[in-house]
Amino acid sequence: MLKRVAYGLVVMGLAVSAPLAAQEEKEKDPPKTAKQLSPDEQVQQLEKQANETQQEYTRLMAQMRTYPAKFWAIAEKNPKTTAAKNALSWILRNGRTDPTLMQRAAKQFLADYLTDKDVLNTLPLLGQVAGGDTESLYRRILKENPHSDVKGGAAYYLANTIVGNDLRGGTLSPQREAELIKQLESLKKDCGDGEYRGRPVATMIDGMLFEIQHLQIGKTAPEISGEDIDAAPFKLTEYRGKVVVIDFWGDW
Amino acid sequence: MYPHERSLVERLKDKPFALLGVNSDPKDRVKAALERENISWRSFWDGGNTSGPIATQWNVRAWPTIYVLDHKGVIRYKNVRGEAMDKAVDTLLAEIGEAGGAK
Repeated sequence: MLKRVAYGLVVMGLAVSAPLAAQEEKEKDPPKTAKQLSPDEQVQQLEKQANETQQEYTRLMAQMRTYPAKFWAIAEKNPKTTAAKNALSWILRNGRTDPTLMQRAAKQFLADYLTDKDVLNTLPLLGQVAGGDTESLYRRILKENPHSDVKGGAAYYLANTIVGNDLRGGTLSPQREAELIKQLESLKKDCGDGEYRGRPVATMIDGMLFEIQHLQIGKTAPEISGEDIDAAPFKLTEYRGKVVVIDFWGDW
Repeated sequence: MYPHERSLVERLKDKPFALLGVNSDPKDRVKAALERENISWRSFWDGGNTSGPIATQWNVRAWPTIYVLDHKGVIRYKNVRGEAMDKAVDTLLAEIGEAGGAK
């Protein structure tokens, strides 16, 4: 019993002395510097700074959104000039915040500068612009624009337009298959050695042709010959006799 | 993806079935994924990125892309996932059962 009392007194003594010591420190020190902020105060300060930065960011973003229309105004006032071309080109490259204006800029750019190298930036937008007649637009660009990367891009988008959604579902009628092959082979000739985003378009068309001819439902799967993650070689045909799921995957 | 694949492989472990991956990750990443996700099925390593030789030849432009082959190596389903994949595989296994193992 006595031990417990003694223990209690010691604890009380410690409890009383600690705050006293802290108070002494408070009176001694000058105003706290950043380093001496308590963790709670540090968090508060950071929150305030983050809020201010966020507000500034919002203000700047709103300001950025006014630019497409400003560029458009110049292009409208000075049609068929270098200034208009560059203004429209800016919108094509940076006008994401105003998609309607981007499409109008693409349409105008094609109307006035069909042979320019910056037609490249109109290509991803033509799906919405042409309103159903994208194929002939791409064909026109392919025919009349001399720049090899523009040709490459137009051929790439044209190939995708021709093939459409046919390949996703996996079944093609023999007629459709023949038609697609004919159009793609012809397109391959026209696009020459054009590239799109660093990849030769002829190679991409070859990929589509391979898929049409060998990777549809009803076709025997081509052989895959490679190595596993431990570098051990193996082949798809080793699994003949089994039902196989091939799963192209990545860990992202 | 991984839980469904794992359960499919587990369920069919005594059947004539194989799940084969074609992986586009860098080596260290895929190795980490194999461990983390308990991936028991085999994968071709396609060179470490999405432009590898197998994905290029098979014109793969979206991931994941799925092909289901029957026991003769014929493509029977494309891009089926989850329950649809289960049904497809079970249908094709039944074909082997119906054929009584004959080729």
